[in-house]
Amino acid sequence: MKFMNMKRFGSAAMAGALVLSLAAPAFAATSTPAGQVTISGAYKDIPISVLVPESGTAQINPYGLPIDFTLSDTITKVSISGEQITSAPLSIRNQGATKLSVNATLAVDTSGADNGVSVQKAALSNEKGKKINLALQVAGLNDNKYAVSSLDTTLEDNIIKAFADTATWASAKSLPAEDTAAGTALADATVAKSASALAVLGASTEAAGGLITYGKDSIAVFRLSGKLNESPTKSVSGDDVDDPWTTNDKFAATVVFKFKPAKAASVSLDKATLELGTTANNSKTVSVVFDAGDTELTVKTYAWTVDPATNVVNLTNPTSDTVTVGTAGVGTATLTCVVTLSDDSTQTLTCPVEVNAAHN
Amino acid sequence: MENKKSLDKRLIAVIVGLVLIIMALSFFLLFRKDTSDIGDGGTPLIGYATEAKVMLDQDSLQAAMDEAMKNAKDGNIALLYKDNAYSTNGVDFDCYIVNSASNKYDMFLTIYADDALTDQIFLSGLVPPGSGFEQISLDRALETGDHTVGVVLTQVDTDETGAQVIKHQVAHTMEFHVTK
Repeated sequence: MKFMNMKRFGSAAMAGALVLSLAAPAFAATSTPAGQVTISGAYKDIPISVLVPESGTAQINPYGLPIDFTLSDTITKVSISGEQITSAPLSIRNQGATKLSVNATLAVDTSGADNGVSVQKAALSNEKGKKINLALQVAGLNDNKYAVSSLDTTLEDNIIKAFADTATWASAKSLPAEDTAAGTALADATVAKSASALAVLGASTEAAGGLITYGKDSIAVFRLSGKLNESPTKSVSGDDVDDPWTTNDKFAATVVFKFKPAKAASVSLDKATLELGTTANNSKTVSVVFDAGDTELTVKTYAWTVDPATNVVNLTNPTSDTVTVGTAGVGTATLTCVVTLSDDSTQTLTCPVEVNAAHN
Repeated sequence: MENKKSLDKRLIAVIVGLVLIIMALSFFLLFRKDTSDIGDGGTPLIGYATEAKVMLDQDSLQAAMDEAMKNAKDGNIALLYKDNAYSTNGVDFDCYIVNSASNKYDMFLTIYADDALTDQIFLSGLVPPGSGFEQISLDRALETGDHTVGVVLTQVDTDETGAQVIKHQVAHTMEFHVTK
């Protein structure tokens, strides 16, 4: 009898467990999304891995008052002044093994009661109202002092110093905000999109334990920058009257970044092989095709050579992107072009050449 | 007989333990916070310059900057994702979006179909650091073709009262592809 009771108890317990085990997925469906998984190390593709700052704040600073940024020692300060839109130092950092291009969108919300702020894409020129010429600026950093571990105590300070240095922004890429009338909600704002990469972030390396070592060009700083008139006016009964900036004047900007593996620069020849005749069809051109990809590289020099140097073909314009190859004899040769890019890297391209009467 | 009694006790102990574990799991899932109930914690908008206000005096400006610097120290979010997601029906997408293990907070994911981040098509539950998504189902189908969507990652913290509040937000885009 006692044994039977235990069997009954056991059955009841198992039934209860069954009910709960069925119920648990139903609860999970409302609080945990389907498809949530723990990512294992078996995933072989390289994902995008970037460190970005959270939503931040900016200040409208009509008079360009100076601001201090305090470094990690809590004593040393670096300053900026003359900036009419200011924000804390912001940076994006590539933590992955793939070089990334950075694009972005920018939209401005000027809604809100008593808010007369509007955005003008064109440069300001004696405008009367509370107009702001606003842009997202992104400046890639490229120096060995940034090629350190993510735990290096000098990194944050060096980023702050770069952010405060006007020289950093001299080469920055800008994404200007589109015209936005006062009182425009975000949903109605025209979104500005970068047409080309605002920055290319070099790869980083990850050591065991997740420690990141940045490359010298893995980090970019960014900010909102803008101009506004110090003394706005408004028209009242046909007269211009002062309409000074107040603490009720504001805007909200939404920046959405787009990261993707950067397209590398590439060079190629427009012909894979070259066939020349001896009496006709005895002169052809070969050109280098250069694609900068997401880089800012340019071609520095072209150096064409041919092997053997004589007896088969001769070259005209051997230091330009297009070379003319003329018949000098019969046989085969190899045309070579060494392309030197603006970062002093070189690419070597070759094209086999054949000269005989069959190609006349 | 003694062996039989001992076996029965062990069986009961195992069953009771199993029931307790399942009940605890169910309790956790039942009372886990839904993301739709999470307060904004003073983070009303998405973007890097929410509520940029006029500062007319040096002290206010510097105080605002000091506060922003202080917040920035704890404000970085690690993104870990693949740029492309694929679907054959416009609703169910294979993707790779992870709350990086280096992040401190749980996060939820909101996906928008438009650049202005107003047309919401997906809202996830909370995801702890180290976990993520390999498949998601949108609220409505996207048409066949390529779509650039806005992905907003929102980190959630627990305040001193035990309530979950929004801690940080960042936004980036992804490419969603629908093929037949």
